[in-house]
Formats: sequence, structure tokens, C-alpha cells
Amino acid sequence: MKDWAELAIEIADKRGADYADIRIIERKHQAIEMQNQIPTRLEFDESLGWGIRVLVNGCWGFAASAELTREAIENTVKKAFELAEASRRLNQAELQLAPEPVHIENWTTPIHHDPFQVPLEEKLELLDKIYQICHRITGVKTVLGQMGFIRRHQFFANTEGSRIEQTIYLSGVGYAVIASDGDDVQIRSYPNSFGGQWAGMGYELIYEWPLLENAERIGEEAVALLKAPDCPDKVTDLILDGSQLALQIHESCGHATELDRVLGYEANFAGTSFLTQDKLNHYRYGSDIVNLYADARPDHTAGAGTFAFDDEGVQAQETDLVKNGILVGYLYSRDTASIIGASRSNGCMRTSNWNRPPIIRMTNISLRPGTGTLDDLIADTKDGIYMETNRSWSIDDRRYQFQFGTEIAWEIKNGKKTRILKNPTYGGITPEFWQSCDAICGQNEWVLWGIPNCGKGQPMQEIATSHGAAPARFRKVHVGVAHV
Amino acid sequence: MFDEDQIKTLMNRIYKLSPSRATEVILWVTEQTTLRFANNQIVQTVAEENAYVSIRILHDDRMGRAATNKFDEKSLSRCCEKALELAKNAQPDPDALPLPGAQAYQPVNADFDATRYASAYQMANQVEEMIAEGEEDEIILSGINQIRTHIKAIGNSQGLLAVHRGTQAVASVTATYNEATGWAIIDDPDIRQIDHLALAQTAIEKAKLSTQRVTIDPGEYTVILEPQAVANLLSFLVLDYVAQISPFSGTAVLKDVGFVARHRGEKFFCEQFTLHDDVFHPLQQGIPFDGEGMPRKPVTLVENGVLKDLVHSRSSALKMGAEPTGHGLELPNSYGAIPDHLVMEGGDSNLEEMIRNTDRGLLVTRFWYNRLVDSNSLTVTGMTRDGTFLVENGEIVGAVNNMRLNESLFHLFRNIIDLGKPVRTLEEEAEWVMVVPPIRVAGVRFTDQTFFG
Repeated sequence: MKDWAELAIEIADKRGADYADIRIIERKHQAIEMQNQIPTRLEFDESLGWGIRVLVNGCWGFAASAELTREAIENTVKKAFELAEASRRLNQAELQLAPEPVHIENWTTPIHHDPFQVPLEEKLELLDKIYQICHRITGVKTVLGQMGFIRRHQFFANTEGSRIEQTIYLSGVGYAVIASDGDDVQIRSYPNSFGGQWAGMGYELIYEWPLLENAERIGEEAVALLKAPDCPDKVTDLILDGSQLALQIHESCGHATELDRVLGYEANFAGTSFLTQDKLNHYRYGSDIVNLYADARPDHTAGAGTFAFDDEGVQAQETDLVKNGILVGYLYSRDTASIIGASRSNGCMRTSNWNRPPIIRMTNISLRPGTGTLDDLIADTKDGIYMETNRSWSIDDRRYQFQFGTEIAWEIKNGKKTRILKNPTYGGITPEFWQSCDAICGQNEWVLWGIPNCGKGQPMQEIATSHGAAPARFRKVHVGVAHV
Repeated sequence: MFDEDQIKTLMNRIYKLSPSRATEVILWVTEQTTLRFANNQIVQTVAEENAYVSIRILHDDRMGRAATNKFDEKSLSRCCEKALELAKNAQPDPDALPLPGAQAYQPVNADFDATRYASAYQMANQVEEMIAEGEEDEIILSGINQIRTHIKAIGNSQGLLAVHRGTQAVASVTATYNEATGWAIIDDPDIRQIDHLALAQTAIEKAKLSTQRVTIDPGEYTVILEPQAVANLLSFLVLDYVAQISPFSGTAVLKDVGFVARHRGEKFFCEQFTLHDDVFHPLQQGIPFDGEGMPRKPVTLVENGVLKDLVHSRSSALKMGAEPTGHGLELPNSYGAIPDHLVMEGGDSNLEEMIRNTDRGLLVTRFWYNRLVDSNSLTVTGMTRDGTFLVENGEIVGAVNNMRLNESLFHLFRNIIDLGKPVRTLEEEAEWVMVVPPIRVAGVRFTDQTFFG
């Protein structure tokens, strides 16, 4: 792997690249999905390939190939140069790369149990136990169990001399219970919906979550939803659980602070951002207690967006995005740092695999915890709604107006959780919503929630991110907005 | 790129390496080049070549699948062993069927050298031409210019072999003019059919039109949906992403899930709504076989509002006494079959006439970030984007802020007023080719809006 990387860098250098970097990535992935007791996905896949990015006369060219031969490397580097040269006459200003120290490093996700060494039998047995608990509950029709494991071994080299080897593990687990009474269909998931919980961990992730202990409750809640009244259409105080708040952070802060969106690079597909450059350091994004930050560092926590170095060889860092409610930062790269006056990239360039160039992505974007517990927060709420676990999500292309739906909600009356409400939705305007945040629970309730499939870019790239959040309260939010 | 003999040789190598007599191989070969532009410059270029095989092994009534993009003997052998290991450990699948034998396929002509050999310089010229179109008015263009070449082949140890080669050229453009945006997309197997300049002009015209702002409140409106907006919503009618099933599949009917299972044979939508799945339609031209290697057949899903026929995998067809329709997904999967070459019939109207005949309504270019809110009512939410216009007394009177849709698709396809001529469009978020007309619909619900449009 390393020899091929050296050869590609040498060829690019000799051809006159101002800068070049290469990522050789070997990715292994196991996917398990069970629908009741029938395997609906049982798959192992692996891929090996490499992608080279060259900067020629201020223009980028990127080409990727699965072949590791001298001829393939020469041809692919040539293709990257052709693309850079073809772009040249349209470019008005040459790109400037912010300096980054040379790194010669090797880092591996610290795991306790290699998920690829855990027998398949054990994994299937756990999913079957979940099924056995849930399917006994009258009204439960389907139990979907999922696990996924990724091992990404990669070698990065650039013309500046950095040589970085990383082995990054991701693990995920979750289940969903679907109940039906002939007239209605409802779903409940644990620990999270749409693939469950994901983290930069080994199989210990699966051991740490009380999957079996929660199966009966989740099944019963799915059935209870069938007879529950609909979430009313009204303005009220809203408490979100950590997992739903994580998605809110992802959509309304994470994407909104990606500098490539702010600069219009994603205008055609993913969209732009309402957090334009003129707002930096003075715009009130949220209330005084809202503190949002990006942190990819390995010593932060085991997130799905954790690494030692990003995919252009920049060391993982912590960056404040919103401090005491004020917009103070963006997510950016070596070629965009100077645009906002930064002297160094904050390490947010990531690629989904060897066949895609790195683009600005979220890492672990989190909300700093406040104080107290969820019980305290509910006890402190006279009249409101508590919503849990995402069911649908949508936000405009500048990340300003949003609508989310959750699987379940409870009415809060005089400080107590009362009846269950089904089909809950809420909507609003991003800064108004975050400015209405008046309470965030403490560190004990804070969880780094993983999202395995954030899509961005053309061609599309899917990556995993994490978002730390504790339950929080938002005053006077419009709920029941979809009028299902 | 692999030729037919190389494909056969590769498959035969795998059958020999496989420890099972029941082995299926899917080969995907892709090459693509993308130029991304923004702020009137090319900001990213991507060229990619890849090929992988996905091997499915049947072990009695159990199955496992493994994939690799390494084609050396050792890697292919390990891939077969992995698939077998997964199969041995899997729970029995009562729906598992023996591998099918050789099938006959109707060919599809979607392979064009003009697309395959388009150079980076040629593609950059096309981008330059588009950008130049907006320069006089200081309009900023962003978008992609992309070519894709692919081979999909499926074979098995029982003698089945199907090979398809295809090309696709895609261009989409967003024009930004004084904060207002306009957008357009086109795709075709043959790059010579793509008029990049006309595409840019459409986006620019929309952006210019969007600078004349008018204010409206959310509420119910008659809507005129351009083909992309129709495609954005139609996918949710045929695919329930939450329940992971297509209501139009035999699998859904067998499980009694979804509206088709309960209302098949009934007039469920309005008279004007007819929907087929037809890979051979002149504007579709997709892969003529499914994930099980079965030949695709045209299926009428809805005819004049009546819920008609189902798409089948081999398994659902066997259980329901029907023939497989060639819509099965790669096994194992939870969906069974999905109709993924949609063709919606149109009518005699057109966008201009729809506008002329509307007293008060909205013209929508496309919807963005569309999600199913509720499976029971098929309520879908999404934001309008890149050109949403108020129509009054038969004329466009200005652009409005982007509006949030919350509407049941049952309502939508029951209240079509008129339809235009169907066109091919690439649903950009799902990358799904559909043939759909512009339509006008009464009483569509918008519940909120944003501050721009």
C-alpha cells in the first residue's frame, strides 16, 4: 500500500503538481438485517482502491482507480492532471492551501472487541432474542433488527511529506418494532431509528446498550401508539430527547456551518446556508445557553466522526461553532481557511471512500450539556410535549425552515408525563428555535448519537457523523405542524 | 471495460472457485467523470473507475452474500467462502428458491460512444458555454456536467447470463440572480441529445423571474407541478421507505401492507392518473433484467385511477400463482420487488395552458428534502426550491418564498385537473429516472414558508 502511494506521489510531483495527495483505502463492511426471523440482508463486502488529488495552477483534479499497478497509477494521475487542466481556463483565482505541519503518524480506533472476530452466530442470536421478546406482544407485526460493522484501513501521503496510516472502526446496532391494528401502523425504535446507534467503537458498543432490557417497552409503546390520540396542532413548550436533538443539531447547525455551503460550492444540490460570512462573530444563533462545537479528536469520545487526521492530512481538532448563542465558527478545509481569515484548516475534510475526493463534512458536532436530569426538566414544565426518536426530517436548502417528526410523544401536564400522543411533528425557523432553548440537561444525560448515512456532494458521498446532546427544552414551539 | 467473453470467463472462474453448486454472481463496472461548478468556476472534478462482484451462495434454504472489487484468485476465493460462511450461519429463509436457469432478454439500446468517450475538455467547454450565457446579467451558475458508463451482468451456475451496457450523461444547473435562484436538469444515455445551452437558459430565465417577489400565506393552493416536482413525489407513492416495501409489490399484498393490498381493483385515484412500469419505454431504456436475473416486463400499476397489476419477485409470483415480472431486488432483501422504471401517462395540456387556465395557484419547479411523514395517509413533506411562482388570472405575477408542502399523495393523485406531455427526468435526490408529465392539482396544502425563494 505504502509503496504504491509513494509511486503515485512521485509521478504527480514529476508532472509538476503544485500539491498532490493520495488516499489508499481498504474497506471492510458487514451488514446484518433481520425481519422477524428471516435474514433480509446478510452481507460482507470489501473494497480496495485509491484516489489522487492534484493541484495544478490553482485547480483541483481528482481521479480514482481500483487497480494498483504502475500502468494504472500513471494513467490515473494523468487523468487527474487532465481534469485540473480542463478546469483552468474557467478559474478566476488560484486556490491557496493553509499550511499544515508534516505528520508521520499511525492511529487505530481503540476497540476492545473486533466486530469482525465476533461469530455471526452470536450476532444473529442477539437479534433473535429481541424478536422473541417483541413478537409475543399482541399487535406487533414486524421486528427489524440491524447490525453493521466497518473497518477502514487507509494510508494518506502528500507532496509535503505527510504519511498517515489510520484504521478506523465503526459499529452500529438497532431495532425497530412495527405494530398494526388494521387501521393504523406505528413504529418504535431502539436505541435510535434508521439504523440504530453508531459509534467509533468495536463490538463493545453492542454490549454497552441495554438492547434486551428495552425490547418489551419498545414493543408495548409501538402497540400503545395505535390507540393514542394525534399530537395536537398548537404552540407549546417542547422537550426533545437527546437522539432527536442530535438530528436537529445535524441538520440545522452542522450542515449550516459547512463553509463550502456558505461559499456556494454546494448551491446546485445540497444547498447553501443562511449563516453567511457577514454573520460570523456577532449573529445570535441561539440563546445564551446554546454552545455548539465540532470535535473529531480521539480523546473526545468514540464518535462516528472521530479520527486522528482528516482526509487531507490535517490533525483532528475542536472548534467552537456557536458560543453563548453567537455564531463563532465554521467547518472548513485547507483551501477555504484563508477565505475566513483562518491560518490553519480545522480538519473537516472527509471522503466516503477511495473513489471520492474529500469535501467539507461534519465530524462530531455537539451541544454542550447544561444541568439536571430529564425528570427535573419535565417536573419544571407546566404544560408541554416531550418527543422522542426521529421518524421524519426535512429542512430547506439554506437550513432555515425545518420540520421534524418523531415516533412518539407524551403530553406534559403540571410537571408530569401523561398520555402518549402519536404522529408528533414540530417545525420552525432555525435561529428562532435555538433562541427559544431555555434548559439543557446535564452531562449524565449527554450521549454522542451516531448517524451512519449523511449524504452530500455530487457524486453523492455518504459518511457517518456523531452529535452529542442531552434532552433540552424549547419554549413556544409549533407542534402538530404536519396535521397528519 | 469488460467485453462479453471476459465477463463469461470471470463468472466461470468464480463458479469453479465457489464451494457451492448454487452460486450467483453480479458484476458491476462503472466509469464516471464529473465536473462540478459553482460561482462561475469549476470547483471540483472527479473521475472514477471501479468494478466489483457480488457473490450469492445458496446453502439449502439459506443464503449469504459477499462482494469484492479485487479480482485475483485469492480474493475471489475468500469472497466465495465468506458468502458460504454467512449462508451456513443464516436462519433458513422459507422464501428461498433454487437459482433460475437461462432466460431470454429483450435488448435495450442505451449505450452511446459519444457519451463514453466525451473528454474532460469537451465537458469543460460545455460548462464554459453555460456560464457565458449568464455573464452579461451577472448571473452566477452552479451545477454538474457528468458522464457515466456502466456494465451490469448477472450470471449463475445454472446457466443464466444477462449483460447490459449503458451510458448516461447528466447536467443540472442552478442560476443565482440577486439572491433568487432557478434550476433545471437533463439526462440522456446519449450526450448529443443534451442541449447544455438551453438548460442554462431555462435556469437563468427562472432565476430572473424569481427576482419579482410577491408575498402569500401558507394554505391550500391549486398547484402546477413541473415534471421534476411530480417525480419528487411519485417515488413515495411506489416505495414506502419506512416500512421498506413497495405497496405495488406482490410481497406487500402477501403481507397485507399498504393501500394496494386493501384496494386492488378499485378506482382509488382520479380518472386521469395512469401509471406504468416500463423499462422499454423509449424515454426509459434502463437495465432489462432484475436483481434475480429475470427479464423485466411492462406492468400497468394504475389505469385511469384503478389499482391494477403488481410487480413480482420470483418468490411473490410463485406464492400468488403469477409470473415474475422482472422487478425483484438482489437477494436477500426486505422489499421483494419494486417498480423502478416509472412511466406516468400525460394529457393534452401543457405548462403554458395550465398557467393560462389558473385563477390563483402556484407553479412549482421542484421539491427538496422530501420525506414521508406518515405511512398510513402517505403524507409527504418537502420544501419548494429554485423557482416557486404565484399564478393569478392566468399569468405568473411573481415569485414567492419557498413553501413547505404537507400533503397526502392520495389527495394529490385524486385531484389532478389536467396533464401535459410526459418527459424523461432524473429525480436528483434518489437518482431515479422517471417519465412524467407536468400536472395541475387542486387544493394542495402548504403549511409554512421560509424567507427566500
